Amino acid sequence: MRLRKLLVGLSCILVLSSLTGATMCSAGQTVKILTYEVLATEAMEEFQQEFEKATGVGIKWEFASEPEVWDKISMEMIARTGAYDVFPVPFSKIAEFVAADFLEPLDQYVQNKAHPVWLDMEDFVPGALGAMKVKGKLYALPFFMWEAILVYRKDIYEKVGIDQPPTTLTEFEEVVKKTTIDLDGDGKTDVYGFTGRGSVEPHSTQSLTFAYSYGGEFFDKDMKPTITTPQFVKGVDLYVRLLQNFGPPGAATHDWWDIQSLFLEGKVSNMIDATTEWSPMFENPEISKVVGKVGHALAPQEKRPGGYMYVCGWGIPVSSKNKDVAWEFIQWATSKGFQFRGAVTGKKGRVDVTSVPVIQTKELAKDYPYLVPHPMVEAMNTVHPDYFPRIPEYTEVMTAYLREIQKAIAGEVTTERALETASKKIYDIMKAAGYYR
Amino acid sequence: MKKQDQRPFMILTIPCLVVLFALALIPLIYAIYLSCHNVTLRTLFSQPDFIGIKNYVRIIGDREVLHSLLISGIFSTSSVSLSLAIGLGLALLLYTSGGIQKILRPLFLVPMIITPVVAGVSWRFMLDPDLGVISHVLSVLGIEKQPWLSSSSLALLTVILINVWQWTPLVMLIIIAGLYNLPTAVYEAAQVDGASTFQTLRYITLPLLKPVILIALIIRTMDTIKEFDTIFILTRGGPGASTQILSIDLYFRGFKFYHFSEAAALGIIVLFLIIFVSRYYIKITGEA
Repeated sequence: MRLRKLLVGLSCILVLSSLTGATMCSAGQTVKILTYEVLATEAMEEFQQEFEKATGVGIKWEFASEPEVWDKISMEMIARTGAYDVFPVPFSKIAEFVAADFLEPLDQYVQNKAHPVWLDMEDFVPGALGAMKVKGKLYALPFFMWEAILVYRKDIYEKVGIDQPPTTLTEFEEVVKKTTIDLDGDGKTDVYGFTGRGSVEPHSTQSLTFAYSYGGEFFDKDMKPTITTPQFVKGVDLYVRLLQNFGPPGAATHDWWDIQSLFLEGKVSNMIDATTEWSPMFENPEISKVVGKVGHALAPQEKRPGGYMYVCGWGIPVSSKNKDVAWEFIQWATSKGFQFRGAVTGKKGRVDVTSVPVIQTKELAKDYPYLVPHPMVEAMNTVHPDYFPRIPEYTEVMTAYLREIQKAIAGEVTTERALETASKKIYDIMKAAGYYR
Repeated sequence: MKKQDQRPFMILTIPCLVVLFALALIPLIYAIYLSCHNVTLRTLFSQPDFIGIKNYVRIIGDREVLHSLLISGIFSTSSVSLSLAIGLGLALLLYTSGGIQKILRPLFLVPMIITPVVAGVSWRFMLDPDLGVISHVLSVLGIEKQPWLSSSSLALLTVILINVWQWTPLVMLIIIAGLYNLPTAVYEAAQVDGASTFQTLRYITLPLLKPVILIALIIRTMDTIKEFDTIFILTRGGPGASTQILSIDLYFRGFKFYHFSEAAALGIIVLFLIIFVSRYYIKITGEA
């Protein structure tokens, strides 16, 4: 009997304590963020006290590699447990999340300002903000963006007698050829003229920079693939040839980290990728063997700029139980004040900002004279609005495309054949998804 | 009286049955349900349409699935036969309790202890044609840099060899355990009859080891059919789809392209494939 009373008493205490805990949690004191690490998130970690002091809300970070983040998001998209309040929304995947009704529309939140100076919609780079919208509705606020510029080895250019970085892709091919060199005279290439991603990752789309520059487009207005047009083929074929003839062995499977490592190791002369993010890294003597040797220029173009842009925003999953707190965090993390401090006074610094007033500051130009304003701001102004086709089938379409391009880079099929096969596959994917009725 | 005797056993098996039901049967039933409906990203939270066996028909007629099946077949057959041959050889060399064997045996087990993902990442770095240690060693020996993971012809061979490297120790361990349990009397009789070492191996050891070898064969076959982690880390099924085995095809369909029902149907087909192969082996074991 005594035991039973004791058990009942203990149960009451447990129930009461759990209720108290629940009440405290529902007050929204912590914002849970799932993300991969980039310079922008590192700056947020460094300055998070600023947000915590202003709002009394704590931040709980969960970091994972990028593919792991997407796997976790896929699971949350199905399970909807409310495990996360904020997560990164790249503009390539935004349509996918919207199609699954997983992203909270933010238009209604925009009027609700947590802090008088945090949110100003006029601050954002227009292209970056536009990329966070689907059918006119806003789903995320951009917190970092990268552009593609040409990074090249000044010392190698000097060695082979090149005065100016190339401005057209035709010139670029010649430069790449000349800067593929054997430094020690043993008959083996020591520095490759070019490197780029060949891996089948949804964002390994650098071949599109070349195709768009020649005037190619991925889809026509009816969403039928147009990747077999002569201009598209010409651009992709140049990318493939440069990797095959002047790129490092194994280029067909190289990803973001591989090409970055190769450049940091001093094994590559030219690169056109998400290079504005990497440039500060090349000047860090702790990790780079090319400090002081890297030049920066606008990516060479043929008929028009290649238009590469990668934008990522913070979004709120519909399953979040702390949406208001999540919105407060997003406003702080994209505010010009924080972006300025992260870029200029942060330990690592960052140049991937999305706020126009920050990009225009003298301080940013002083810290990154090789990037701001030239060539970064010019690259920013010429981005292709649909560089990544914003459709829910993006990953499937891009996987079909990249698998064939990978075969071409590996030398197993010609570029024409690869694009013909990819085009058929993409047509079938789009047809099955109901685009052509 | 007989029924009463069985009651405690039945009660004791209840927790086990509950766990089995929760962890194996419910997901299986749900996978079958999913495979007969049309669940995609767009229909995630609406009432899915019942489409019967359409997903199965689509999967069986899909050229990419047939390609994955072929790659799975090559991967599984090569990896299992190589690891069995090498594992048997190593077991015969190392089962005696000499000094050097004592040192070598635990060393040979190291690959098996490493987590497959860690093994995959390490191999990926080591095989990099420019920054990897293997290319460096080969270049010292005068061998050209090889695109181990980025050429279709080499990539499948590379992933097979890595799988053999990692799981041959398991085969070796199973066979060593079998060797310890062989009756000594038969060997004594063979010695008396003047049988050579080769004759003893051919006519006594191998026939007696047959059941143990078949167990290793079943375990390795099942493992290679559902292999995923190392290949995913090494090549993600590429270049192109040259190392895309069935489990990687399934992962892409389900978790990357959100064709949940198609992936479920493919999963059920793979399950039946494993059951069929295992039943076949078990049948042979029974006959043995």
